[in-house]
This record gives sequence, structure tokens and C-alpha cells, in this order.
Amino acid sequence: MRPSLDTLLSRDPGSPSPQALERALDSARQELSTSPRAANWRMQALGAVGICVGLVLAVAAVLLAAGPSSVGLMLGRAPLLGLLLLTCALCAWSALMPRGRSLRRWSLSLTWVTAAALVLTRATPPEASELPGWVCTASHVAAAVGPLAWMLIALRGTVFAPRRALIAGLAVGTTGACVGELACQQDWRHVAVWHLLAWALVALASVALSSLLKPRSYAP
Amino acid sequence: MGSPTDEALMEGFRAGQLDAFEVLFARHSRRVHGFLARMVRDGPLAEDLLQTTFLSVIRARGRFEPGTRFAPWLLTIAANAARDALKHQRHIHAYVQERPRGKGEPADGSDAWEVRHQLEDALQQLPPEQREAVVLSKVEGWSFEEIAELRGISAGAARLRAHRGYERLRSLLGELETV
Repeated sequence: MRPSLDTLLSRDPGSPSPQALERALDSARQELSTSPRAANWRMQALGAVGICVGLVLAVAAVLLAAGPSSVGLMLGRAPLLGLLLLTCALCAWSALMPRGRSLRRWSLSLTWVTAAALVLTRATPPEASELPGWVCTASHVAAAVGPLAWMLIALRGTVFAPRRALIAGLAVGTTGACVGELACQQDWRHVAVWHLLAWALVALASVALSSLLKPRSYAP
Repeated sequence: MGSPTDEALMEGFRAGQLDAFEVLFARHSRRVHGFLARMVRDGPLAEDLLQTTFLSVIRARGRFEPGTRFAPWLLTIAANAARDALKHQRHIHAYVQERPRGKGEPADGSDAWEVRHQLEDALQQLPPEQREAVVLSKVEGWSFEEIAELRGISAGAARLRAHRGYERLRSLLGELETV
């Protein structure tokens, strides 16, 4: 009489060799000796937000010192800057947390709301800018390079997941969007095209680069 | 006093008790290897992935959250490592068809070995997501909700994957079934 499929499936497929077990244990011990402390995902998320906030503050300080902006102008943009930083924090947290699929959905929703707010609240400038639109895109992407590098290192500690990488990119992309709010006076069309393009490029770069990097860990 | 639970050991490991890791390794390495062997059907690769899995546990111990059950978390890591390895294994079909007899396989092709060999062949003919669902539900005893959580799909989709995989296995191994 032949065994059932369930019986066949439950049969032991063979034990690992003692040498293989010893090799695995040796490499584990070696890893523990080189990195005795565990990386905390909360600290990585806070680090990402900290880098973004630090960069935005540095840009604000430079703009105030150099003269093209004023405290009054920045205060006028404060609600939008607050919304962007909230988006940054929620996206960074949800991208790096081990679980939290629903929080990631909320992050994406908040990103849509923030992007819409950036476009809809932009007033028509008194005079047209002489700079081409792509200058904003390039500067926003450049502002996100540092935070993106931090985020990619953090993402290597987990298995690649496109949505997670996308949200991580959206988190660091808020840096450029904040810079745009501080430094750019152009109208809503410009924001809809060139600023949001930069945000999308950073998010896509996060997905592409994250998929190319070999993960250090396959943990969820 | 009984031995500490896996979760207590993992908490200890996170807090810096490195001995706790060795206890977890001793408890789970054979089970993880069994899962990986079914998933990739390649002894040396399964042994490499066993090493990768436990290295991942060390590197990601900070991602283990209180309240998480250790064994499913560990098998999730193993499943992710196996899936990544299968993705990069380009000539899997050629390998399956031309696989030479390895060590431990009887030269006379005894019945038990033949049956196991056919099961391994049949498992490899399933798409990886169906194979994973079958092994996790039928061998590891996971619920469809747990498989759904692992792959970010609905419980219904997980059930469908396991059902389709199981039916395909049944048809591939039809003559092995008890009549």
C-alpha cells in the first residue's frame, strides 16, 4: 500500500551534515563577535527623520543668512512644512517597522494628501522666475541623497519589499519638498510638475537601489 | 522549572545574552533545514541558506518585536532567503531534470528512496509560491492567516495557493496515493 501525500510530505527530507551545522554556528559566532549590539529599527527611523529635519534647518538658515527668504515668509509656510515633516516621520517609521501593513497604507494616503496640499496652496508669484524648472528638481533630488543613503543602509537589514522601499523613498523625498517650500516662489503648475517629479524620482530611486542591494538580513 | 520558551530566549538574546542564540540554534536548525531542503531541493544550497537564515536572525534581532512568536518569525526569514535564492537560480529546471544521484541515495533505486525522489521532483515542479504554501500549511502546520501575513496577501489567496499546489502535487503523484 502506497503512503498518502500527507505522509510523504511529513517525512524528514534529510538532516544537515554535522559539518554544515558547525559551519553555520561558527559563522554565527563570528558575526556576533563583530557586531555584539543589535541595530534598533526605531533608532534608524528617528535617524532618518533627524537627518531630513537637520538638512531642512540648515537650508533655512542659509536662506535667512543669504537674504532671499525671511522669517515671515517661512512662518507663512509653517503649516505645509509641518505637514511635510509629519509625512516624513510617518513614512520613515512605517517603512522600517517590522509589521504595520496598515500604517504603510496610511503613510501612502498621507503622502497623496500632502502632495495635493503642496500644489493647491501655492499662490501665484508676483514675478516669473528666470530659472528653468529642472533646477528645482535637481536641487530637491540632491537634498535627498544623504537621507536616502541612510535609508538604504537601514533597508538592507530587512528583506526587499517594493512597497516598503517606496515609502522609505517618499519619507526622504520630503526633504527636497521642504527645500522647495522654503526656497521656491513659483506657481502651482511648477510645483505640480517639477517638485512632485523630484519627490517621485527619489521614491523610485529608493525602490530601484534597494532591489539591487543584497540584503544583510531576510527578516520581515 | 521548565526550559525557557523560544520567545524568552530571543528576548534574552536581544538583551545581550549570546548563549541564548546557541540554544535557539540547537532547537531549530534541523527544522529550518528541513523546510529549506523541501523548498530548494539542493542539499548544499539548503545548508548555505541555513547559515544565511541564522545570520539574518543575528543581524535583525533588533527587529524581533515582543509578542511575536519566534518559530514563525524564523521560518519567515528562511522562506524569504529560499525565495531569493530560487529567484537567482537560473537553471533550476535543467537541474531538476539532470540531477545526478548524490550521496545517501541507494544505487539500486530502493522503493522508499524512489518515492521520496518523485515527491521532491513533484515539489520542484510547483511554482515557488505554491510550494511554499503547501510546505508551510501541510508540513509546518501554519494557518492560512499566517501564510497570508508572510506574503502580504489575503487569507483566501493563501488558501488558494496551498489548495492549487496540493492538487497539482496530487495529480503529479497520482499513482503514489492510497486508493
